[in-house]
Amino acid sequence: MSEPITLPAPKLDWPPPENKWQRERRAFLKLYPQLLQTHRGKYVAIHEGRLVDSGEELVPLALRVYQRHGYVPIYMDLVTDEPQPPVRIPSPRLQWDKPAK
Amino acid sequence: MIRYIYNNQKSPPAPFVYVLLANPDGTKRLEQIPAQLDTGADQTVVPLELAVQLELVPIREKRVGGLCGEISALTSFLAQLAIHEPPFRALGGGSWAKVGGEGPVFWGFVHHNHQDRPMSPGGIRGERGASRFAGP
Repeated sequence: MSEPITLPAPKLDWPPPENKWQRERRAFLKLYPQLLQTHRGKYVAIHEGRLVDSGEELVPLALRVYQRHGYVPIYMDLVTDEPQPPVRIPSPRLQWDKPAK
Repeated sequence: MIRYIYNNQKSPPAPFVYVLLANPDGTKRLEQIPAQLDTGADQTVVPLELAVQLELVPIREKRVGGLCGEISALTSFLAQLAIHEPPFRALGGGSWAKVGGEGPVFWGFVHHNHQDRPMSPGGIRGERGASRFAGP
């Protein structure tokens, strides 16, 4: 039996490069402690790493920021330190949809 | 008034309607998408393929709970959804035009699912703000 050959581990392109939305989300998390002081309970929009707009409701905020900055990935989220309930999508068809025979 | 017969390709038969789905400025839209009504859902879910075709950009991730309470994270997008009567009207000019004309038009959030499931416009009432954008 021949001797085993040990090769170096294959190089991976890892972690994959972040896209713009992921960068904005990371910026949101970085700004989060400060936003809790200034924008608690409001929706904020993060574009190019900074806060560009905020509002009481998400849809009007999204429409405003897309108008102003173009339809590009912009992270928007609620500033809160309270746990948010999950969205309920309880349809069994989403889980176990089976085509009729 | 439009009435649809339950779709019996599904077992058990299920309520479907045709919807129009468009990106926020209405420049990309998909017409006559069969969509399963899901009155128990908080928000609308669309197949990922539709979000890709409309080139929707993500807003955030939301935790979603299914029937048995399992939690997963889905991406939110802003989109226009219209349940309306055929024939479909052409989009108006200008930016941020609302789609449709005759029927109700909703601004709202959609999530995508990763699997090949039918669109499920259950949660039009959905997230804060979404329900207030009924038009025209």
